[in-house]
Amino acid sequence: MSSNGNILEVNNLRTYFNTDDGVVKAVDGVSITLKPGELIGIVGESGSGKSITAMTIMGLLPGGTARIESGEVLFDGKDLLKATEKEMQKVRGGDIAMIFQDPMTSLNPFLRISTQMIETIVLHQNVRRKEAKAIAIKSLEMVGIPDPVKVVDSYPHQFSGGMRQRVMIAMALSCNPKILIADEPTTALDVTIQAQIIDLLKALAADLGTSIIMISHDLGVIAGLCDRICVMYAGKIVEESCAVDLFKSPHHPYTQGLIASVPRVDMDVTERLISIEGQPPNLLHLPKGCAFYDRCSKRMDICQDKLPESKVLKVSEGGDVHRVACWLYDEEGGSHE
Amino acid sequence: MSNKKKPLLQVRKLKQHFDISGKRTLRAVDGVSFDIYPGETLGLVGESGCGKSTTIRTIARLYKPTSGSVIFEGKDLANLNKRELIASRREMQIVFQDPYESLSPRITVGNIIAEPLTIFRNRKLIDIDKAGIDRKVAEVMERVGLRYSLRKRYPHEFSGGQRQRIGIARALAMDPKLILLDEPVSALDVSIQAQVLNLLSDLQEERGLSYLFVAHDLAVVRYTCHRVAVMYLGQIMEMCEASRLYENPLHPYTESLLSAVPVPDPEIERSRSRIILEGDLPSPTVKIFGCPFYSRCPRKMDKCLDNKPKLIEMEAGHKVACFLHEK
Repeated sequence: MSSNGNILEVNNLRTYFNTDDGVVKAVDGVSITLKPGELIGIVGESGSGKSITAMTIMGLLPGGTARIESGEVLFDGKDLLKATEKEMQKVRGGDIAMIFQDPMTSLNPFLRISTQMIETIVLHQNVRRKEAKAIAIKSLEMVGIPDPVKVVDSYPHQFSGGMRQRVMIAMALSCNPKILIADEPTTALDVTIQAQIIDLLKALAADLGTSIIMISHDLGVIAGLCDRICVMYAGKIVEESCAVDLFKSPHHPYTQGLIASVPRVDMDVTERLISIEGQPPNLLHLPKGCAFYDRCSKRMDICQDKLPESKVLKVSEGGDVHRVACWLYDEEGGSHE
Repeated sequence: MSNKKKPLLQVRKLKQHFDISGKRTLRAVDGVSFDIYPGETLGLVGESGCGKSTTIRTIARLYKPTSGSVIFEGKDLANLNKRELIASRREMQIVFQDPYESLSPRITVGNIIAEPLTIFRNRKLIDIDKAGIDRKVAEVMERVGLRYSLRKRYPHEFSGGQRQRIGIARALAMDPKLILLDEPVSALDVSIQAQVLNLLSDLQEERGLSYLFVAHDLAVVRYTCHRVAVMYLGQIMEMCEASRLYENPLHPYTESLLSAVPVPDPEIERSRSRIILEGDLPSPTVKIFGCPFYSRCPRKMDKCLDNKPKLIEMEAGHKVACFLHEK
């Protein structure tokens, strides 16, 4: 762990893709800090760069087209971006584990769950296969799979979607990771099953002290689970705050629009939903200024020309920082109004 | 409100069973009845596999129903021959979930929208000339927020939200009375989802359209629908006005379903009590004699195992199929 108590520090990360049409700046200057036991959420729409941020941290970028332009990912004081593939293999599935949206495509359909779990456990821990199987069974039990001794020898297709996601979580936890990155883990699931999985993740964070980075497009899921939330738009974090503050007083016009555009199950909506007009920008041709300019209801002249930097709005007594990247909250921008 | 009017669509005891691998039967829709009135949106909600999409497809006669009737404007679609069916489907259109798969990638957007009109014209079912079709395409494209100048483009040149607008324009071109919406916004990002929902509600107001709105997102349904039917394993468990369902759910399944939907507000979300259902949906190929929800119900009683509760009207317009509420 680094001196400031962060287990993970992502600093000014830029991940670009070379395509036939030009360079796509998928992640463009993202900084995230994660403390032990903390649950942070990254929320954003398709193409906002949230999954690519996670893939970069895990060293899982597709070869060839992707390149890391700049930045560092400090884990335990070491920069993972400089680690060799062999070192990364130790980290992945060991100290940092990841679960994905679709558990069916992340499990090998031809191998028994036991085979797949033992492989991971033996790779990361100094145990024999027999002990590894016992660990696998214990992990399955921990995530609430009934009859784990029998189930461990089943094939992935024998499980329902919710059970498969539990198996994925069990697999991720089998090596006692310090960090769990969950990329839309409940998006493919029904709401009643989603509620089970969210409760499970919450309990695991509380019992095991695992830090979780939860990536989702669903504000409701993020609201229920996370202590702190980063809102991403076009490759950048436009606002970051503790969960309660973000929903109570969202500052960035995009965050405001996002929250207002979600219908709520607990309220009768009598008026129209507030929608954000237009489309997200083309990442190939990002504007010079703020990427949200075209869709923003509060835009000013300066927003078109100059990129707003992320500024600290306030720091709570507990040390929670509320940051926003918008000219509305900048003295320089204010003077242009 | 709707009691005085005549229903536009009456679905009665609709069953859609599929024979799979030999002797097994999948009871996708198993005796569903409801009405839709002019200008009304009825929501059909439930989890995957509950039969909500099959219900919509059966109503549109994409499948021939196993039994039951679908009476649309006085005609029972379940028994019509092909020609009669095509003619009577003119005023009933459908918009699909996936705007990527429901638009042909090889046809221009203008032709996609014109296609139903062209088919009806070729079969001499409507009196419209080519110029009339062009005018109609221009009108509906503008109405859904797509410039007419984009008509020569192909679907892949549009974003997901725009493609869903194309699907809506194609449905509107026929001047339908009823549009069957099968998860119309679930593939879209939230900011785009709000645009499409607002468009649908504007169109309804202008044209007096009726919608059958199938969705799994209960928050979207609360916002969109006048009445809601909750489905589980091919059957309706509860049906009533939307605000009533959300404020005062009677069926234990509805209750747990509503409590499972996350609310985008951390303070509320953390203090809510949640009914977490155990287990998964049972297989729809197993014949169930009692209540379909028995295996997961937190309030099950002995008699629920072998006896099937009927969908009974408890209070005006509020129907529920549960022994807890049977007098």
